[in-house]
Amino acid sequence: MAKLAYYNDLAVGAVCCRQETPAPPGTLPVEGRRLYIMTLGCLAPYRRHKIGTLLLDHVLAICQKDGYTAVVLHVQVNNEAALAFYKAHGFEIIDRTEQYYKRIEPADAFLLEKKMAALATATADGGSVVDEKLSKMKVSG
Amino acid sequence: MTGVAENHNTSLPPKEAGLFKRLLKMYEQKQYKMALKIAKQILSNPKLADHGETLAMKGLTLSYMGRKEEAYEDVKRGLKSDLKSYVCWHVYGLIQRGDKKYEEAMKCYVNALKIDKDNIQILRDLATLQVQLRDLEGFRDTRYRLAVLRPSQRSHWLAYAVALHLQGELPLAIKVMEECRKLAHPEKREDCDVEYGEYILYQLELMMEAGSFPEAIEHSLRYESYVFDNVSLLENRVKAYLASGKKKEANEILFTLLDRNAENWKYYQDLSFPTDSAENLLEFCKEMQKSKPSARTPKKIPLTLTQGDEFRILVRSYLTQGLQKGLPALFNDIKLLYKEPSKASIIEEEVFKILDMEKSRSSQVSPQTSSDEDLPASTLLWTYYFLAQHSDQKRDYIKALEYVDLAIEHTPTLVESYSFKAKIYKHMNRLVEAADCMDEAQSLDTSDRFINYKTGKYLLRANLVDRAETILAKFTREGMKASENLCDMQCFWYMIESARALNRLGKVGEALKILHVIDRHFMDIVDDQLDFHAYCLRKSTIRSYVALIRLEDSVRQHKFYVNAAVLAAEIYLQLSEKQPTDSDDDGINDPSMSAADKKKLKNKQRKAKKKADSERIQQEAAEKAKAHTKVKKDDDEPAAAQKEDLVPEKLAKPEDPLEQACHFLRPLLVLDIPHFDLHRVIFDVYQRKGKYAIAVRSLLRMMSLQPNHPKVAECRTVCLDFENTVNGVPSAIQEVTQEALLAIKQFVPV
Repeated sequence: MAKLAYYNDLAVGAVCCRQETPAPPGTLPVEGRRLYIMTLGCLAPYRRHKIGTLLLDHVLAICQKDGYTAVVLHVQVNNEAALAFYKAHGFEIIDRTEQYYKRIEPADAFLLEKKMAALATATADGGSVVDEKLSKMKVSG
Repeated sequence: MTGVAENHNTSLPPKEAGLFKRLLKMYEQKQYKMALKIAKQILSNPKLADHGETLAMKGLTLSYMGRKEEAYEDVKRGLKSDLKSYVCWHVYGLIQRGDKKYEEAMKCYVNALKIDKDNIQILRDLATLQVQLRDLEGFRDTRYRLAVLRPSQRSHWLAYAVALHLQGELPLAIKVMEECRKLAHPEKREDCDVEYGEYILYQLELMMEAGSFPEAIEHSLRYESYVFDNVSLLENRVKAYLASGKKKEANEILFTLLDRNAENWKYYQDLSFPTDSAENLLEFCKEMQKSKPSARTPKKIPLTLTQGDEFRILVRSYLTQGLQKGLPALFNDIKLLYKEPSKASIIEEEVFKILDMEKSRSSQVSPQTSSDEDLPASTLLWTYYFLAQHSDQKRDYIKALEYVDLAIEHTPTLVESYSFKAKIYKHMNRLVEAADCMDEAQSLDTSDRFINYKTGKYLLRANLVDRAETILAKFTREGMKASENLCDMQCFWYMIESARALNRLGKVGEALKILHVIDRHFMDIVDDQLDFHAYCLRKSTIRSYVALIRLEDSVRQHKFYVNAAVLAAEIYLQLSEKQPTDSDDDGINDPSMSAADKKKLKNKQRKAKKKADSERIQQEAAEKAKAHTKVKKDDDEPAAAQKEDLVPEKLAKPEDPLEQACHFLRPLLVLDIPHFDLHRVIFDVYQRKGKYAIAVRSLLRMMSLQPNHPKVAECRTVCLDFENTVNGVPSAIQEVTQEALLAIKQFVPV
């Protein structure tokens, strides 16, 4: 599941997610299915234009539609901007995965989660509705 | 398919006469098997075994079934046994026309008409071939006979008018057209159709061409309401008004036209003002900007009219708008202003100002806190992109690369940045890097045909023929080599670039093969006219038809043909320089090679040759199979004249290379084409052929095109040696040549 975000006809952002790999047998089963965001990004010059929000809203809309119970993702521990972004959108740190990254430092990552059940009523308007001010942008696959 | 003139021959007994009628009907309905059966039935009567017209029809039928040899045999036998039959002659003409032997076919038609001088069908067929071969006088006469024979049919008068037009008899053409118009004039205005409108417009064009402007104005006013293509009518009226000095009236119409289309630069140029000052047009453009806010032309014209600070203010807002909107073509849009160096530097200064502004804006932590919240974040990218193009134009390639890299760093997803980077490399003559860069651009958008073709072209420029093939195959038909498919589809840019690459790689034969195919494509384009002579007159698209005839007359001046001809001539010149030897030109004779290397090379070549041979045999077999199925498919079409196969190995060793070069150049000699390299090769080829008059004429053209070119001086030296040689040629040519030589002698480079 991947989408590109266009700004003035330029491809500037992208998101890609998949269903979370099921937990290995023997471990405690996680309740319901979770959606895992593999990557979500926007080119630096086009940040602070709500493009990340647009992409995240798109992901949340998928969750709503396909009945995922939660969204999870990894963020590098020192990535303050990303942490602030996800926290503002209702994510919480639920774990710290050590040595998650192989080629960058620091190699640790936080695991963030947003539960969808709690959002059941809120997503109705927070789904994939594009802010009218952002009419310059569109999301396309 | 063309019908055969109705038979009036009563030499057949009643039963066979009936059969013959059925034979004609079956032929008309393309039931060739049936027709053949009936023909055989008639001929089986021992008394009628040599019946000429039946034999002719049998032959014609066979020719449509692809059995060419038998067809000719029957038709000729038929003609021999009935020389007085126009049917036999007509059929003999038709079958030759099918083989593109137009001159012979014409003679047959003329013979048929000697027997039956008013046969409409044959006259029509004759007229078609006359115009195809540009026997315009004959065409006019035939068309006149047709019109007189069927005076109530206006299509005959229309065709006669066209014939007069092509023959240059404009006043008569206008008169005939007027009669034709009267015949077509609808009783009620509502009944008027496009065809009638076309008649009126064609008549108007004739009047314009004849220079009868008052008549044209009156005509266009009187019949305006019948015409559907209003723009042509009005544009012609503007021309007529301007030619007769009626500026005010012309202006009125131009205002109407501008209201329809504010982007046509020509309309602005044709406007007249009380004084000649540029201020007038400037004012007018400002008004247009208000009434047509989205039109670009009224914003662009002032840039050409102003200077200094006034220009600076205008160009600043023009650039700012374009950069903010992100117009990729902004630079090309205003490139014409770079002719004036002062304007180029003002543009540079202004873009630098925009760059500084954008840089400081983007370095602010949060652009949304400032007042320019609505300003797009992409302006900086487009500014870098513009500056790259600007620097490239100034030939400052290092700077251009810097800017384009900044653009790529800013937004790595923009295809245009990469393709422009490739272009800069191309200008720096770093062709492999250019090709790689274009390939990268292509990888960002693999479904875009334009960038795909660009990549193919850049790869060919870098002699990377195989990679080009792979890339281009993405858009050509599957199951066929891209190079073959593109050649079949008359994709000329590809054919030229590929011939050049092959030539650079030393594959002369293959390059020549492609060039000959280009020549054949142009022959096909000329041949393809044939169907239009009847079609256009039937559909009354006369204006386009006349334009087509004129285009075809000079179709070979198209740059694709000229480029192919120049390259072919260059290759043949090289081949003619070489001493003809039996050993292949494969580098074996290179003295710098050691004996061992030579042996290795020879072994390699032998292997390669073996492989190539077996591949070729396979390919040929496949092609034969393909050709076979094709013949089957085209059963109801007479198989086109077989063309000689082009074999690269043979082409690389022509018997008479100079004559081959002339084959390419000859059609261009009658067209006056301002192309330096063309005249350079014409000079070289014809000088070697001893055709001094042609060589000298080309040198004169070279002197006027690029007086300071080193080649000009070289040719002059060669030319002045002619003087001793020309004495042998006919006196008329000698005189002309002497005169030209004198001009060449006195020529002083500027």
